[in-house]
Amino acid sequence: MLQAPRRTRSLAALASLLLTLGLVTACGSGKAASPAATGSAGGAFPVTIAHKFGATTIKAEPKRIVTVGLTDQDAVLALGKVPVGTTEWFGGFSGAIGPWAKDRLHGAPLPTVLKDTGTGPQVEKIAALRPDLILAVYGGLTKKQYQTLSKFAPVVAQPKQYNDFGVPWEVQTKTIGQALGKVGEADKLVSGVEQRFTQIRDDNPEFKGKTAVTATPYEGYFVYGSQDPRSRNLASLGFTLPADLDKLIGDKFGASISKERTDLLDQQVVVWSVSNVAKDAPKLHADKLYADLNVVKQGREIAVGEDTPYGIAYSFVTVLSLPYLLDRLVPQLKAAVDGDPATKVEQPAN
Amino acid sequence: METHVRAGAGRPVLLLAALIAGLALLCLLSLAFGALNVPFGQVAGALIGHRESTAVDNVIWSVRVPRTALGLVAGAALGLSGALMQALTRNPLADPGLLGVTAGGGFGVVIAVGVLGLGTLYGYVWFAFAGALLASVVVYLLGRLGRSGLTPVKLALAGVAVSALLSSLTSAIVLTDSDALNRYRFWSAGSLGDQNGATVLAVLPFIGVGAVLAIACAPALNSLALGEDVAAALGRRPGLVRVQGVVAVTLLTGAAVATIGPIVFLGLVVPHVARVLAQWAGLGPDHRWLLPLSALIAPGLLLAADILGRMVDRPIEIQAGVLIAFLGGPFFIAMVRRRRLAEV
Repeated sequence: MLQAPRRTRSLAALASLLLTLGLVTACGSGKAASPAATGSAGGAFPVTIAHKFGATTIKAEPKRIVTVGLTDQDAVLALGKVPVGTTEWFGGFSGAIGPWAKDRLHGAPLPTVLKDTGTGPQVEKIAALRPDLILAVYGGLTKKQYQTLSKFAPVVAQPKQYNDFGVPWEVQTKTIGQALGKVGEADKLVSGVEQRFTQIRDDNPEFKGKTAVTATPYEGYFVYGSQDPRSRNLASLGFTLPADLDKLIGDKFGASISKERTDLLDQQVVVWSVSNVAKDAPKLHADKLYADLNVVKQGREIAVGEDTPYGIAYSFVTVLSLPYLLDRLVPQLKAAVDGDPATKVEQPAN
Repeated sequence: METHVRAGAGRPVLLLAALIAGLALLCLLSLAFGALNVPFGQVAGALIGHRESTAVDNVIWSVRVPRTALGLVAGAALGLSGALMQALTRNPLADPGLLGVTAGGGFGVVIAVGVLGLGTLYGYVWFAFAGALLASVVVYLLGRLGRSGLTPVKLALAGVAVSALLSSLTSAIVLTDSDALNRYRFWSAGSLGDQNGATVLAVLPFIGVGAVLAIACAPALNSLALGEDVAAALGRRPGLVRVQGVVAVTLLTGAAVATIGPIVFLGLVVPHVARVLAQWAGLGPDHRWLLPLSALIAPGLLLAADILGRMVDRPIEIQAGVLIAFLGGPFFIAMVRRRRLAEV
C-alpha cells in the first residue's frame, strides 16, 4: 500500500477539525520553470532551483545523489546518472529500481535502499552515504525534515505549486534535469513520452471526454484527486476526471471518502490500485454499495495489483515507467470503455 | 450539582424518559444525516421499505442502519463495562482502556487478523475475548503483588504497564506488514463506518450475554461497595461476583473492540455522568440504576460523536473514536475539577 505519502487520517482529521474554516487553497496551475537549455553539464553550474521551502543552489555537478522522493530515481537514471541511495516505496525491487529502469544501470552497483515508514527520511543513513545532492521532488518533506537534510547536502524539495506528492512527471524530470545540469536532455526525454501520449490519444479517440476515476481501498475508499500522478495520467490519455472530485477531496493528493459517497466511483471507467488483484477484487465486490454501481455491472473497472511490477508502475508515473505502463494499461482501458460488458478486462501477461 | 433536595419519585422516571428520548433522537439523526444528502422524505421512504433509488436504499440500509445499530450495541457495551469495572475495582478511574482489557482485546484481534489471516467476526472475536480476559487476569495478579495487596493505584499502574506492553507487541506485529498497518490504523481509531449489518447481528449475542451478566451483578456490587467483609456478611461471595464481573467485562469489551476498535474514554466518562444524573434523581450510588443508565448514556455519546464525524468534513469522515478522545478529554478534566469524583 501507499505507506509513505500518507499521514494518519486522524491527524488530518484533527487539523481539519481545528480549521473550522476549511480554507482550501486553490491549486495553482504552476508552470514548470523551463530555463534556457545549456549544453554540457559543466557549464550549467551553479544552478538555483526554487521549491516549497525556498531555493537551493547546486554549485557543481553532483556525483553522489540520494533520492528521497519516492520516484525520483527514475529521472536520475534516465539522465544517465546512478544514485548512491534510493527510497523504497512498494518494496520488491532491488535498489528500488523497477524493471523499466534496470537497463539504465549499465553495470553500476545498485544504490543503497532507504526506507521511510512514515517517520520521515532516515537522516543518519542518508548522511552516511555522503551525498552531494538530495532529491525529494516527488515527496512530502516537512520544513523541519528539509532543514535537517540540508545540513548534509543541497536538497531539492517538492515544488510549491503542487500538492505534496502531486508533482507532474514532466516537471519532476525537468527539475531533476536542472539539478544535474542536463536541461536539454531532460526536455528531450519529456517530449519523447509526450509524443507517446499524443499517439495514444490519436489512436483511441473513444477515450476523449469519458469520465475516469482512480482509487484504492484504504480506510474505506481512498480516491485520488486531480493532482495525483495516477489521475493526471488518465487525463493525459484523454479522459476527464469527475467535475466535483477536487471539491470533495480538497487540496490533498487524495482522500478516503465516506462509503455513502461511493457514487463518486460510478464513472465511465474506474481504475483500482489494490494490494493483490486476486484477493482484493472480490472484497470490493462484497460491498453492496459498490457492486450495485453501473461501472461494475457493465464491466468498466480495472484493477492493477501492487504485487506486480505493472501495478507499481501504475503508481510510479515517471519518465521511465510510463512507456512500460502505457503498453499494459491502454489495452485494459480499451476493453473497459468499449461499452460492451462482455469484453473482459484481461490482466497483462507480465 | 450538590443537591440535597428530597427528589420526588417522579425524577427517576423523568430521567429515564429523557435519556430514552435523547437516544431515540440521536438514532433518527444518525439515520438522517451523512455524507450523501438524502431528503428526509426519502430516508423515511427507504426505512419503511418504499423502494427509493438503489443508491438511497443502499446508503440507508447498508451504511446508516448498521452503523446506528452498531453505535447502540457497542456503545452500550462500553458504557456497561466501564461502570462494571469501576464498581469491581472500586476505583473511579478504572475503565477497560486503563486496565489493559482493551489493549488485550486489540492484541487478540491483531494476532487473529494480521498473523492468522482470519477475516470474519466469528473467526477473530474469540481472540478478542481471549486477549481481553488474559489481560484482565494479568493486570489483577500484578496489582496484587507486594505487601499491601490490591490497591487501586497498583491496579491502575499494572493496567497501564500491561497496556503499554500489549500495544508495543501489537505495533511490532503490524509494522511488519504495511497492508495490515493501514487496516489497523483505521480500526484503531475507532470507527463505526466500516461494518455491515451481518457483523452487527453477529456481535449481538455476545454483547447480550455480557449485558445480562453485568446487570445481574448489580445487587452484589452494591454490597461490595460497602467493603468485602460487609458483603460477605450480607451473604455475597466477593470472589464469585468478581469472576462474573470479569466474564461480563471480557465479553462486552472484547465484542466492542472487535467491531469498532479500541474506543477510549467512553467507559471512563460515562459512569461518572451516570452517577451525577442518578444523584440528581435522588437515586444515590445504586448499581441497579447506574449500570442501565451507563448503557443508555454511552451509545448516545458514541452516536453523537459519529454523527459529528460524518458532518465536519464531508464527504471525508472522522472516526468517532478520534472525536470522543478529542472532546472527552476536556470534558473529563472539567468534570474532575468541578466536583470531587463521587466515591465509588
